[in-house]
Parts: sequence; C-alpha cells; structure tokens
Amino acid sequence: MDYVIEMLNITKIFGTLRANDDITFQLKKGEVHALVGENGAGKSTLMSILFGLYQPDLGEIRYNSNPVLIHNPNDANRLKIGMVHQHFKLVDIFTVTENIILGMEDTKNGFLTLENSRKRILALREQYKLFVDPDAYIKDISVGMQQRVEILKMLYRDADILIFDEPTAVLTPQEIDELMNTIKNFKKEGKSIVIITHKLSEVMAVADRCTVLRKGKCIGTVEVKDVNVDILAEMMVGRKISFDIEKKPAVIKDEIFRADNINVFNHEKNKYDVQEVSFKVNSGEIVGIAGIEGNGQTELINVITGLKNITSGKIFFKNHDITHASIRKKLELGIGHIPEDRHKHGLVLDFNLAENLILQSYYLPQFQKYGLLQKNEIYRHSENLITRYDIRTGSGSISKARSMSGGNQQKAIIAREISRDPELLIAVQPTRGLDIGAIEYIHDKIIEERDNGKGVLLISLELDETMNLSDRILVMFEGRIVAELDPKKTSFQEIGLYMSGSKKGVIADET
Amino acid sequence: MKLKIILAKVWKSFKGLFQMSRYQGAIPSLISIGFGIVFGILTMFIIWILALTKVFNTTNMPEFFYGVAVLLAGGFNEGMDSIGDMLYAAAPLILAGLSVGFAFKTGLFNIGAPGQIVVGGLTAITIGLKITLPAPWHWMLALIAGVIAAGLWGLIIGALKALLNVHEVVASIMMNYISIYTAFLIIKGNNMVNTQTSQTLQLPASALLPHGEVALFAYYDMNIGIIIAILAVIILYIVLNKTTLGYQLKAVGFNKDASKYAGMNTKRNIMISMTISGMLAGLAGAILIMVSGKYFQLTKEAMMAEVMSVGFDGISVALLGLSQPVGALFAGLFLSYIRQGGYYLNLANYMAEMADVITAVIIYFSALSTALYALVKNRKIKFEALKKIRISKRKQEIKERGEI
Repeated sequence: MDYVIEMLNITKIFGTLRANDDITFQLKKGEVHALVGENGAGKSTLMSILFGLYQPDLGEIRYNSNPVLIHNPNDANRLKIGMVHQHFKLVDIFTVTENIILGMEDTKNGFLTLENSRKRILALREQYKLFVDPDAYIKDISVGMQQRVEILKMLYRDADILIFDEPTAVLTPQEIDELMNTIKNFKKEGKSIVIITHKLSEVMAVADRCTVLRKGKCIGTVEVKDVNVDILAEMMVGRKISFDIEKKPAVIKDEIFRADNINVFNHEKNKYDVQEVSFKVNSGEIVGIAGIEGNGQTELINVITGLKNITSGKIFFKNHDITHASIRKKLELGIGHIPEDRHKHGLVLDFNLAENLILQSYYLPQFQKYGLLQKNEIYRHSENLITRYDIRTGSGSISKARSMSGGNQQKAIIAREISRDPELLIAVQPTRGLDIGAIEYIHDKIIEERDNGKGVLLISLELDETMNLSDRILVMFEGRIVAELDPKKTSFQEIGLYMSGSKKGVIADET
Repeated sequence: MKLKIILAKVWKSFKGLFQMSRYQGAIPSLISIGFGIVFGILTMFIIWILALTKVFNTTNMPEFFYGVAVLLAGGFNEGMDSIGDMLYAAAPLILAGLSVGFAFKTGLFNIGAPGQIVVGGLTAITIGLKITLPAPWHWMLALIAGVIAAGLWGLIIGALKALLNVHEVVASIMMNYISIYTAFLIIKGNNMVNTQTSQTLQLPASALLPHGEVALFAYYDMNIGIIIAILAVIILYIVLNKTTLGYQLKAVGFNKDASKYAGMNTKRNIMISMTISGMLAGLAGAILIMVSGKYFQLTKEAMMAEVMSVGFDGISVALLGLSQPVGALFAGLFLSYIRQGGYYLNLANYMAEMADVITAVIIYFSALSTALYALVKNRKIKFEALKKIRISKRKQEIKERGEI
C-alpha cells in the first residue's frame, strides 16, 4: 500500500492517564484524513507525536514504509511534515514575511535578506490563492489571515504532509468555506492532509477517510462516503446522541437587566475594547452574544460582573443602578456568573469540592456561626448538590477540585451558580472543552433556568451553541454590537457576515 | 448525652490521627531530613578520614563514632537540662516559622519576619525599661505591645502590596533594614543602652517571661515561651482551618482571581494576612528578648547574627513544616534538637556548625523534594503501566502462536 505515514500501535502515557492506547493511524498519499474524537480523546497527542513534540512510549512510526524516529519538529520538517497548531505560533510584532521565514532566514554577510523570501511567498500566495499582505504586522491582521500565514509557513518549508489542529475553531462561516477550498486545492496538488476536529459536518464536507478516537483508544478508520454524521457521532461518543435541542417557546416577562451605552477603554492598547454597547435581557429569555474571539465580549462581561472597571455607561439590574456596585453586592442581588475560564476564575483548584461550592456564600449564617465554619452544614450542602447535579468525583465532597475532570468541574460551577437561585445567569463559554454528554447536560440546565423565568445572557464562540440556545442573538464586532437577530429567521451565513464586519445592521429599537 | 457526643467526636479525631494518608504530605520533609543527616554524617566521616591519614594536622583528633552519637542524641545529650535548652530555643523558631508559613499559606512571601522580630523585641524592651508595673502585668503588657507593634510593621508591607502593588519581598527587605536603624535610634535616644558594652540594659525581673518551679520549668533557661508557641500553633490551626477568615485568606492565597470573582475583598485580605504574620514574628521577637541575660547588641552585624537570624530560620522552619502550623511546631523542635546536638559536638572535637551544614542540606532538599517526589512517583506509575501492557502483549502473542 502507498501509505505515506504509518503510526503503528502508538502508546503514550502521562502519569496515570493513557492519552494514546495502542493507536494505529495510517495516512495515504494524496488523501484528506480526518482525525475525530471528543476533547481528551488523544487526537492532539497523537499528532504531536507525529510532529516530534512528544516521544511515544511504545509503537513505531513509518515514513514511506521506512521506520523513522522523530525527535523534534526539525526532524518532522525534514520529513516534510508541517502543522498548523490550534493556537498559532506567531510573533505579534513581526511582519508576515518575517514570521514565515523565522528559523530559516536567508543571510548575506551576516545580514538578513528578505527579498528572495518575499518573492517566494508571493509566488506561493498566487499558487494557492492564500491572500495576505507579506508586509503587514501579525498584530494588525485578522485571525483568519493569521491562519493563512501559518499555512504559508508550512508551504514555505515544502511540507507535503499537512496537519491542521482544530483549524475552524476561530473562523467565521465564510472563512471556514474558504479553508475547505484551500484544503481541496492541496489535495489536487498531491499533498496529504490530516484534519483534527470534533465537528462532523466538516469531516463529511472535505475528508476522504476518517479515524475515530475515544478515550485514548482507536475506534476505527472508515471511508467517509460509506458513513453519515450519525454513525460517526455514535463511534465518537459510544452511544446514540441527538444534535437537536428541544425547547419550548420562550415566555418573556419583564426587563431584568439593561446595559446602557457601555464603553471600556484599554489603556495598554490605547483603544476602546467595548464601545457604546446597549442591550437588555428580559426574564424568561436567553440572549446570546455571538462574535469572533477578541471582539470585546470578555471585556463586556468583566465589566458587567465587576471584574473590570467601566469607563462610562450605566448598568441596571432589577431597576437598581449597579454600575459601580461591588462584586459581592451584584452576587447578592441575584446575578449568577459561569466564568469563561473555570481554572482562573471559577474554582480554587487547591480547595476541595465542598469548599468550592460555598465560594460566594461562605459568610452567610447558613455556613458560619461567630466566624466559625459550620463543616457539617457545608458538607451537607455539598452532598446535596452532588446528587442533584450529578457531579462525579473520586472521593465525593473532599475531592480536590484539581483532581476532577473538566466536565465535572464545570458541573460544580453550574451547581453552585444555579443553586444560589440567580435571576440573571451570565454563562460565558459554558461548554468549552467538554465532551458531548456534559454539553447536553449543561444546555438542558441553561434552558431549564430560562423556563423557570430567569434571564440568561449567553456568550459563546461556538456559533452552533448560540444559534440553538438563544431566543435573541446580538453580534459583536470590534467592541460594538453590530446586529440583533432572531435565530429562527437568520442563517449561519448572515451571522458570519456580521461577525467578520462585512455587513453592518441596524439594531432593532424595540421598546 | 452531650458528653457522649463529645467523646465520640474526640474518638473520631483521635482515630483520624492514625490514618496514614493524613501524613503523606510529610514524606518529602522526612526524606530530606534523612538526606541531611546522612550528608552530615558523611561529612564528619570524611573529616575523620582526612585527620586519620594526616591530611589535616590536628592535635584534637575528631572521634567519629562518638560524634555521630552526640549529634543524633541532640537535645537528649544532657538529660533534662538539654531538653530544657532545646524547648527554650525552639519557641522563637516555631513562632517565626508560623509567621512565614502563615504568609505562605495565604500566597505571600514574608521575608520581613526578621524586621518584625526586631520591632517586637524593641517594643518589649521599651515597655520593660520605661514602664514600671508589678510582675504578671508587666511582662504581659510588654509581650502584647511587641505583638501589636510588629503587626503594624507587617501591615505596612501588606498595605504597600495591596494598595500600591509593591511586591512584598522588596518591601520586606527594605523594612528589615529600616527596623534595625529605627531600633538603634529609639534605644540610644531614650537612654536604654549601657554605654560601656553598647548593649541594651537588663530588663527588670517583672518584665521577664516567668520560669516557674515545676518539672521542666525549674531548669535553667527554660521558660513559658514554648507554651506560648504551642498555644499559637493551636490558635493558628483553628484560624486557618475552622474560620471564615482562614477560608478567605487561603482562597485569596490559592487563587486571587477566583476570590475576586466570588466577591471577596482581596486587598483587605492581603493586609490582614501580613498583619497576622507580623504579629507572630513580633511574638517571636518579644519571647527572644524577655529573658535574663538577653540584650540587643547595637551593631548591625550583631543584630543580624543574633536577632534577625531567627526570622531567616523561620523560612527554613516553614519550608520544612510545609507551611502548616503543626508542621512548624515539629520543624522548629527538630531544628532546635539538631542544634543542641551540634552544641555538644565539640566534646568529640567537631565544630558546632556541623548542625548548620545539616540544616542547610535539609533546606535544599525540602525545596526540591516535593517536585522530586512527584517525579519519582509519576515515573513509577508510568513504568508499571508500560510493564503491564508488555506482559499482556506477550501473553497474547504466545496464545496466538499456540493457536497456529
């Protein structure tokens, strides 16, 4: 067979975790091969082994049927293997050209010469229709452009085997279409491509074959034309799942939250992160904020929850002006916050589960008397939430948060926030990095809150999630809200245009 | 009925004492103590061999086996007398360790303990010399004033950190120097100095820590310092583990961002934490100085060697005791024990500084040991997992061959 890369019986162990357990992965010459699996299934580990970032504990890698050892990325480059990482490895303050040649610069008498490199980059750009300005600085170009720079970097090194790690996570729908076309072009040129992803629609659109991993094990390799999304999903999760979220029509009540002309100035970058943002949330509805990462969503939420100071504007909650209220005051008034970064903000990882579950309420009479913690009550509370929210841990309430899985950490945060019975729930990226079971669960809980007559503000970078859950969608671009849309009447394409700033809408002035 | 419940509770916590899993955290410390002692004995052995082979010419031939015996016997060398000495010397070490360890627990590095000890001692001396009061009230007032003054000294560092974002290590080191010269200024300016010896005057008996006449306390040097230290350990244990204050301080120490997110006042917590840490160091300073025959010697070098060194030892104690109050108790006792051993080493013609060599090695190892221990443990787990896989593969191969 004409396999260009064969990874045979690869095993990689981190501590007690078998990240890759006896995985065999074979890449044919000139095919697009998708590597799918949930978070933590071992996809990235496997490809990092191929790229020389990790060494396998057991197993063998063959290149054109010859066994090879790949000790580091330079070895991988020599074998013409290139990789676009999920988080780009670019130097912000260098130009596109400088980034592409980094590590293999042309020099003349010890001085850098860019002219030849620039010509080659322009040629590659024409050949593959990857339009970027070679003289632009990385910090000034969009995320989609940065990805093109990463791709050009591989091509500049004559890579024939291209690995893409979750390439669509940061792109708008239009950019995703473009990327898919680029990948098809590569295939025509005879390059072999691996795409790591968990989005099955992309697999169906572009891949020839697909290898499914689950919990470090290889479930199988299939021809994409022989299967459909449901079969792949079942292979990936291990059971049948439904992608549709069932929800009743929203019963919208009074206004609960209003943001009035919020501005947030960033002194480091000397620009506004958030500009003139006004919106409101009613009881009984889910308002979703869509947008590409870094368009002011994080700053907006930080200002609303009090983690950051507001530059100007007003925030109202239940008709109270809470613009300058302390975080504790906001929590006591009834705002729940599922934070974007659960390790940084959501949990104290060195505390145990019970201690984490009282993080905002430890001072209430329920949990303390004369300043002494009421351990019995705290553990009863914790046991109660563990059963009600199905939090699974190694040793119950006394498990350290650090030792819990991502999904259960998130469940703990959600249990804590919802059990405080907030009237406004702010959920930022509530399902990031979780497996499908946990995602379903969290979506159910969020909808349940809405149906209980609470207001929900949802911020997510996954457009599917925003579309499926929200009753109303606001789109943010460069710190402004550029559109307000009804998810039933809009399309991914339309939202994509707003997200990339190509279209600017009129925000419905509903009163 | 109520008594029964209390008894059951006591029994439960007593049983808890014997669960080995509770002590797993101490393993790295015990390993490094082992390493330190082995290293010390090895050094003594090399010295002995060098002396035997006449590489060193010495009239006082070191006696290796006797030396090791003396060193290991530590605080038990001279019976009750040396036990008393050991406990007396341990008290300030334990308190300094508590001070540094408490700050560690709440995410701060209080390298300012030496300065806070000076301030605590200075205040105790001033109250002792300048105020006349009958016995129990006098020493109590001196002790409490020392604690409060040092707490305020710590608060300055905490406020600089919380309000102006000055790193506590930088502020601490500067405050250490300020403390020495402030002490000289106050002592000289208020006629509290013996101009002949350039030492502070002897404190009146009413301002000295009581000796008592029972059991151990009847011995020379021994005073109630150790009891105060043990009380401090208990109080700190309760504060850290049982109160909302301790919960908050630990939360801020472990994760400042999450504490802020949860509505805690992180700035106030940093200031409280530094104040408590300063108070503990002040207590160490007062206990150190409120003893017959103890003075402040008014030169920078002497202050560094005799007073401030206790604060630096506190860092070692906290490190060895894993920043736990109970850990500081045992680490302080151990440090004092091995120093007593060193003190008697000259009987075997070794230098007393052997004890310091051992302590130094222990500190190096305990700084590394947690990481090393985790590394070794992970390696072991991985190795065993790989072994299992290999065995099962081999079995499968044999089976397949058998079927053919």
